[in-house]
Formats: sequence, C-alpha cells, structure tokens
Amino acid sequence: MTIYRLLFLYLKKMNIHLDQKEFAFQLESHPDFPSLAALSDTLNLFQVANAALHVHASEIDSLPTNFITKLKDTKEDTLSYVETHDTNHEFIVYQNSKKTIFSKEAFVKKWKGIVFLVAENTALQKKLSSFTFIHAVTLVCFLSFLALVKQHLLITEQFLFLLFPAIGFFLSVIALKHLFKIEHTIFNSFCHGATSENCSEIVHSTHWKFLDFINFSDVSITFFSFQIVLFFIFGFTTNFDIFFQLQSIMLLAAVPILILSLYYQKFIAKKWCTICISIGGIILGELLYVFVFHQNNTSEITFFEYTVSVFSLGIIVLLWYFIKDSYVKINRLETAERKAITFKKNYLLFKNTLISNPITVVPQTALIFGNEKAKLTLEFVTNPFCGFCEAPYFMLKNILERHENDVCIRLFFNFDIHKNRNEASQLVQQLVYTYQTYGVKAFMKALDAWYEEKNLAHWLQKHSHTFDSFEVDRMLQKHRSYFVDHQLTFTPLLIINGYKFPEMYSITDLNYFIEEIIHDHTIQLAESRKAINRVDTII
Amino acid sequence: MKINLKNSKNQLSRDEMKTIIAGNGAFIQGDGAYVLCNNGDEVAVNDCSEMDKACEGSKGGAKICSGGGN
Repeated sequence: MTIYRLLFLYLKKMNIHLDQKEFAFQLESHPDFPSLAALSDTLNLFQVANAALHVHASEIDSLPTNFITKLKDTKEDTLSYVETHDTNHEFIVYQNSKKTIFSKEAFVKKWKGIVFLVAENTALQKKLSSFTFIHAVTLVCFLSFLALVKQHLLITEQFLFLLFPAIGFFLSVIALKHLFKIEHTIFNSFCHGATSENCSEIVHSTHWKFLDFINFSDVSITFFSFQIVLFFIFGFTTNFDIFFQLQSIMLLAAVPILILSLYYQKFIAKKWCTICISIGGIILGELLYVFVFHQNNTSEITFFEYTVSVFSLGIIVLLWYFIKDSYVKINRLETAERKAITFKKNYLLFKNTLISNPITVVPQTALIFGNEKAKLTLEFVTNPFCGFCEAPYFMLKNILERHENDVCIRLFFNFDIHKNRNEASQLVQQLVYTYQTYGVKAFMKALDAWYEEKNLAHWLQKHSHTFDSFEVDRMLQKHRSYFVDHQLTFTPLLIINGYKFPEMYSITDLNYFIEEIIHDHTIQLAESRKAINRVDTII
Repeated sequence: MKINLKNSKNQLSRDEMKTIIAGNGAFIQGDGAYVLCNNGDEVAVNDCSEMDKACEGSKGGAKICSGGGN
C-alpha cells in the first residue's frame, strides 16, 4: 500500500476530498519527499491543517478514532493508518498492503509514540464532482453509437469477431502502459514479476534498425485499430463480406510480422513477452475464424473499397503518430515540470536568494495582524484595486489562520488618496477605519467582500461608516510618499523580515516555504539588522 | 478529553518530521485489493474495509486482505 492509499483512506474518513493527482504531484515534487515533513507541507498547501504529535502509550485512549501512526517492528519504513473501535477495543491497522486487527495490549506493544493527525476542514468536505463535461460528451457519443449499432449491426456472429480486435487493442494499450501511464494491479498482472522487464524490452526494443521507426507496439495498436474502424465502416454499409475478404488479406500479411516477433523473442532478445504472445494468439484466432466461417466469400473487392481501406489505414497511422508523439512529449514535460517544481521548492535556494536582497525598510503601519511579537514579520504592500494583489492577500490570510502566533503581518495600502476618485479613496479609508474601530475580523470580512463583488458603489453602501478621515488620510498619504520616495511604487510587494520577496518567485510561492521560514531561526538575523536600520532612519 | 490539533502541545519538531519516512511508492489510481477467505477463496474488493463482507457465510470469514486498494 502506498502512502497515498493510507492517506486518502484517512482523509476519506475525515470527509476531506482532495484532487489526488495534484496532491501526488505536489508531494512528490517536495524536496523532502518522502518524509513526514513533505506530507505535512503538502497537506498545508491544500489547506488541510495537520500536525505530528508525540503521544505516550498511556494516552492512546485519548486519541481520535482515526489517525496515522508509526509502529514498531515494521519491515517497511512506512506509516500505518489506524481505526479504533471503542465498543470492542480493537485497533484496525492498515499497513503494507495488509489490514490487521490488534487488541489494545498488542497495539500498545507496537506503539512508537508518534501520531499524525489532520483537522476536519468544512471547505474541503464537498466531494469533487466526478461527472464532468467530458464525461457527458462521452456518454452522448456512446449512446448515439449504441443506437447506430442497434440499427445496423445486429448480427451476433459478426459481432463476435469484433471481440478479437477489441482484446488485441486492449493488450496493445497494456503493452504501452508506460506511455499511457496506466497503473493498475490488473494491468500489471499481465506482465508481472520477472517478466515485466521482458515485456518492456520486447515492446520498446530498437535492436533492429527498422524498429527505430516502427516497433511491435506501434504495429499491433494500429493493426487492431484499423480492424475495428473497418468493421464499423463496412458494418454500417452492410458490407461484411468485403470486410472479411479484406481481413483475410490483412491477417495473412500479419503472419510474417508475427513470425518475426517470435523469432526476435526466441533468438535475439532470448526472452518471452506474455503480451506479445497473447497478441500473436489473437491474430491466429482471427485467421482461424476468417478461414473457418468466411472461406466461401466470393465478393470482389472494388477499387473504391481498397481506397477506403488504404485511406482509413493512413488516417489511423497518422493519428497514432501524433497521439504517441503527444504522449511522449506530455510525459517528458511532466517529468521536467516535477523536477522544476522540486528545484523551485528548495528552501535553501529560496532563502539564499531572499537574504541576498538588500534590506528594505518600511514605515510603521496601523494595520497589524497576528502576533506582534512573532519573530517572522511579513510586510505586505497592496492596493484593493490591484488585481495581482488578491491571491497574495488570500494566501497571507490563510497563513495567518494557520500560524496566528508565529507570524506578524503588517499591511500597507500603496494608494494615492489625492489622485484617485472620491469613491475609490473612500474604499481604502473605510477599510482602514474598519480595522481601527472594529478590528481584524471586520477588516478581513470587508476586504473579502470587496474582492468577492468588486462593485464599488454596492460595497460602499454596505460597508460605509461616517467618520473624520483626517488621521486615516494622513497615514495613507505618508505611506504613499514613502513608497514613492523609495521607488517602491508597485504592488503587491512582500517583505520577509526586512528582505524583499525575490522577484524570480511568485508571491504565492511563499506557501512552499512558510513552514521552513517559521522554523528557521537564522533568518531572524535580518530583523535585528532591520531594527538598526530603522533607528538609522529615525535618526 | 480527546487529543486534537488544537489541544496538543507535544508537536514533533520540523527536523524530527524530516527524519520520519512517510512512505514511498508510485501513485496508483483505481487500484483494487484482494481478500483471502478462510475457505481458501480469493475475492476482489475495492478496499480492505470490505474484507469482512466479502468473506461472509460459507467462506468462513476473512483471513487476510492485500493489494493497493486497502
């Protein structure tokens, strides 16, 4: 059982639904993968609060009914997912592809004192809809195809033949499972254990020169696709006699390739490939079927029918060429993206880039969030009318929710109160006044509402208060002058403990590093240097 | 009182978390599991939580469940 199975089983029990593919991508691109820190950071990235705790064996009864833990005596170095049953005091442990039931005494003996918990998140409890637009279109296509088949192709005996190319096509896809990234135990069982490499070796072999251009897997997938397409073309035109005439030619032409494949396995590769032999069996079965049931076909194939067949084959070969090429490119890009993201998530690299920036000093602000005494200070210069500032704002809000005690966020509005129209100025004034009078929650509620509707008149109608804006204007203008004087005229701007957020990163990339920054005490050095700078500025 | 994220102070340090292996293995989608029943039958199930149900009655109960989907 992979860590994903354990984790998603746990998350399912907690009624948390995540995009599993995206989660796997983010986890595997974490520089510390496969550590627990990587797992925790990735869950944080998906806004699933979590923690790893030291829990003494005497506290086992106080644990929630579902949790992830690390047990003693495990052969593989993996975590275990545990479900507890209060009624019969049983511990159901999912580990290493096994589900084992332990009594409390037996479970305590295996206890290692480490528990990993996630908190329920109501926002993630809505199950992602699995029925998408693509599914709907596929369903419509399938139903209309069924209607066509019902009207034109009702002959069971001929339909039986379709089973051969259908199975052949299926086997050809399995032979290319690495290309299509199909991972399933059922598919794996076709090429399991020691023979696995053999299949891959035969299917992707380039031992002979011509296999560089077209290998056995290309031949089999195009051959069976061609058979299926011809079946429906001639089936819908009720011309099955011609179809089977063509099949006898095609199948006879396939025999030398079949012999070549067997020769290659026996004498060149000196290994047998289960899938290749099965595909060979299918072709022999088809040949037998055609010569037993359709040997007396006397229909003459016309030039038009030959042309249709050649044209179909050409289209299929071209299509396959482009599909395969696209898959190869996608797979290569996915690998490159994973490597690039892993590189980007490297904290040491980020930190070195961050602290190589000169110290940026900003003035005091009234808009302070989180713990003022926290060692980590994030100074965020924004503007409610800046579209790029929205995502960083919500990211910082999320960080604040998770690390209220560890972070201090100082917010600045880089906004020219005199140059902007009255209503726009009112929005900023009202936001500052809301913070000063009603506090952090009211401020965030008002700013959230602004980002949600972005209708100035409506927002002002709902969130306006009457007050003397002199002091607020003075602060806003002071900030504005400071930023202009120091050429910090762009928004959003994020400063971490005095260091400007590196330009080569996107501000929202802070999500990748926040856990490390919070636990990194060396980065605090800048704070003291900044303080000295502040004093200099004041002097 | 049940332990939860809010009331626990005994959290692992980040360095400790980095030393603990969460688990390897490629991401496998739609994987199934197999239950070996006490009568020797092997039954395919979606995940191991279904193991008991799969081996009910004459199958004599579940012996062991294995596979990617548990």
